[in-house]
Amino acid sequence: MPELKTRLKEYRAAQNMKQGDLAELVGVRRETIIRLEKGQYNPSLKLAMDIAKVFGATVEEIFSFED
Amino acid sequence: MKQDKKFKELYEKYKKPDMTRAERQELMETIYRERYKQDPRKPITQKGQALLNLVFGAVMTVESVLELTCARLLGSNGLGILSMVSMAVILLMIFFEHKRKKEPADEMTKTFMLKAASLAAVCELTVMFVMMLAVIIVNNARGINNIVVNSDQQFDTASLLLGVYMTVRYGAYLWLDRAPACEEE
Repeated sequence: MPELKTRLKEYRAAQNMKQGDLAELVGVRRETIIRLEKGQYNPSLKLAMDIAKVFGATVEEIFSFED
Repeated sequence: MKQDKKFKELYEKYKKPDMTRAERQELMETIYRERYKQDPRKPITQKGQALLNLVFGAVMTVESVLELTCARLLGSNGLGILSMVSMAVILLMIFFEHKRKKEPADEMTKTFMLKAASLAAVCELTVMFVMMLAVIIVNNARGINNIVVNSDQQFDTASLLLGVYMTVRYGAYLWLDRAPACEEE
């Protein structure tokens, strides 16, 4: 079964952004961002799109499914 | 002034008649989140809120169990003291909760809450079944054919079921939302 992989941490580090700052920008808790980065939570389409918008990237560039 | 203007814009948007229910709900969450940012009180996190509710449920459960099983042992004085102590604990919690602003729930919180609620419902049904079985077994052992229930027992049973539901639900939520290893910033 394919697993969701994220490059969220890379994008966040590139912009020198803290987890709390990103969480506030997209309207979620910091714990949600932590779990997203660890691949322990699958975001909704809206959240994925909001995150992609913050980094100026596409959803596919940040989130992908890998076997 | 800038914040008031922002709120005014959000509320004006809310009043539009052609909004769908989902859009309206999302807008309310946005408004709530903005109000939360501006509230000067100290925050109480989702986990903190769940912990308070867990304690509330546990107090209700213990009180109901004691009143249902040890009413004769405690006597009317003992029952009165028990009720006063549990009421004091609950009032203290409400007072503490009112002094702080509540962190809004996000999608992960809602997902975990749904999972916790389904587990709590299963536990609730199990408790009801066990209680029913216990009453039948005890009454059969005593040779009693009729089950007599008074209003106090009805109230205590309802209180027990609510307490169990809250305890299991918020306990399960705290378990699901436990901090992952190596939290980073």
